[in-house]
This record gives sequence, structure tokens and C-alpha cells, in this order.
Amino acid sequence: MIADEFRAMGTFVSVTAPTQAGIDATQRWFETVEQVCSRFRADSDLTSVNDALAQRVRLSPLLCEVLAAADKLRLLTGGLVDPAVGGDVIRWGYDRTYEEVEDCAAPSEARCTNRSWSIRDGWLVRGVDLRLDLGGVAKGWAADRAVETGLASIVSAGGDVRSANPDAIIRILDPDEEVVGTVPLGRGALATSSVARRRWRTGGQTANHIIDPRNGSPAVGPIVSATVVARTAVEAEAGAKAMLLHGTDGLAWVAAQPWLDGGLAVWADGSVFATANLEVAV
Amino acid sequence: MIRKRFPRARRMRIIAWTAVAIAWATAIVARTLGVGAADATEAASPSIAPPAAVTSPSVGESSVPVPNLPEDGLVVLRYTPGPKPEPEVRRVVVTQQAPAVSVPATTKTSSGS
Repeated sequence: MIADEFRAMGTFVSVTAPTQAGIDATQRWFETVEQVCSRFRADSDLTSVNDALAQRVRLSPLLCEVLAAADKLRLLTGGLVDPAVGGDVIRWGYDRTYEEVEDCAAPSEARCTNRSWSIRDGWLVRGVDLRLDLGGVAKGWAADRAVETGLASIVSAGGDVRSANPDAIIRILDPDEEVVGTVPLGRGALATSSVARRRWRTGGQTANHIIDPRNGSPAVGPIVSATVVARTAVEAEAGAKAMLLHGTDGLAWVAAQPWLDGGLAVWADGSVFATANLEVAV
Repeated sequence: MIRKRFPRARRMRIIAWTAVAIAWATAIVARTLGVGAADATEAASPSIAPPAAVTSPSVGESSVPVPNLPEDGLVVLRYTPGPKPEPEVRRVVVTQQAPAVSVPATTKTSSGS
């Protein structure tokens, strides 16, 4: 097995594959997905959709697949994970790659009023001013496909891990980079969402990249880092984000979801809690 | 009249005991008033703080809400109620390159992005 790392989608992607060719192919695959799903590239498919002043927009096949996955996750999380927050992310100042984000004034623009969207026969039907953000979904989805198609045995895209290796072990780090637990993942997926990463100042207050669709504002709550185990990386990523947004109810919510296999939360005071069904060693 | 009814010696005893009784009563009144004034001074003093237990959380109590329990229970991996201490910053000077730590290819980390 060969392990290597490259940069894509604004984060580091760590890959384990049987051959170097597998790692190279995984890197090309991530580049392909980024070119379709990035909202920071002027020539990406997603930018074309976001900039189109139309209620119905034709989707490219790959973008349609990713949006279909996002639609399913929106349903599973009761709307807590929704790419329709794209306009809110921009309102709060995250309108360029994170490395270029600067402290800015408080958002003054109103939220987009019609945030509904659906996919019909390869077309996106939405409110005209709705903007989509596929940042979280695209990473997990790309990791899932790289492993499912045999390009790699383990892929970790900024903490969204998908594995086909029965020996895969994941060390979960808190925001201070301390190991809080080790999960014998094997074949499966795990993802971590954190409000301690990708933070900036907006109007004198700290903003973060996880936007709550209920109010269009950055997540606020007692959980600073949420980790979830699931069958696929895209599900784990959505589960982790939803747990974080559920706050004190987050762990109870994860434990009640049949599509999730357990969760772990790093609390604001440094405490670490896990659901009873999560296999984790300290 | 008094002079006529009591002899001189008895009059002197009456006057003496009356003086003693007045002095005793005055002392008691003075002491009582003195304690009351001291109480009033203490109550008005701004330097006396209210009991700490009334307004301040006890040591170890956390202001962060605790998680609601899932039906199957909760595993506590680390419990650090109270404000988390700031990480200590140390200056590290490396004078010799240490051997790379070998991490198995099957081990990854997840800390969010």
C-alpha cells in the first residue's frame, strides 16, 4: 500500500492505494469534481448555475449526481444540511477561497427569500436568486466514489474518510490537534465537522463556515467538533454537520438515526462524549 | 419633709444607691445602642461582599450545557467542566532532525475541515 497526500477543494486529501497509479487517478478525480462543484472557480459548472438568472437550469450529469446526493441528505437531516445556504455563506463574508477570506463588516443584505430547490429530469428548479454551496457534500462524495470505483482503498478529504480497508483506523483529533479517540473503522466512513476551523471576524463577531439553514447564520452551540460514523463519507459528513447544529440534542439525534453508526462530540469546555453504539478507544 | 422623716445617714444611702442604679442603667442602654450602631455600620459597608455561594458557581461547575442523553446512554471519554485552560505556548528549538514517525498507511486522522 502507498500513502500520499495532495491539495484539492481547499483542503488536504490523504490517499492510500495499492499503486501510485491509483493515487494519481484519485488526484485527477478530485480535480474533476472540484472543476464541477467549486463555487470559487469562475468556470465551474456550479458557478454557471449560481450565476444563471433563471428558475430552471440544465445540470451537467456530474453536478446532477452530486445535487441528487445533497437532496437525499437534506431529507435525512430534516433540512439542516442544505446546499441552499450558498447565499448566506457569501453574506457572511465567505465569498472567496478560505485562504483569501478577510475580516469584514456585518452582513447587511437580506436573506434570499425563496430557498426551495428540486431536481427534475436533469434540470434544477429553484428560486432565481438561490445560490448553492456544495463544499461539504462534494468532498465526501468524491471520496466515496474514489473508493467505490477502486481507485483507492482509503481516502480522507479534509477529515471526511471513506475506507474499503478492513484494517483502517482513524484517530479523531480535537481542535487543539489532540487525539481524543481512535475508531477501528475498517470498511465504512467517518467525518468530522468543526466550528473551530475556517473562522473569521464579521462585524466584530466570530463567524464560521457552518451555516444554520434555519436562520442563515453561522452555527452557535456547545459542540465545537462533531464526528460521525456512517456507511458513506457523504452521509457521515452530513450527519456530523447536523449533530453540530442540533447542539445539546446532537448526540441523541445521531443515536436515533438508523443511517448513522454513532457519533462523538467535543464540547466547548473540552469534554468529549460519544454515543453508546460508537466503537472507540481512548 | 425627707429631712424630717429620714435620718441623715439613711438619706445618704438612698442617694448613693440611686446614683449607682442610674449609672448601671445608663451603661446598659449605652452598650445596647453601641452594638446596634455597629450592626448598622456593617450592613452599610460596601466592602462586605455577599456570600460567594449565592452568586458564584462553585469550583468545577461548568457554564456549558451538558448533552441530552440518547436512549442508549452516553459514553464520557473526557470530562473537563469549567473553562478550558489556554494551551501553553512553548518555543521549541530543533538542533537535530528527528527520525520521521512512521504512521501505517491504514491510519488516518479526522479533525474537520
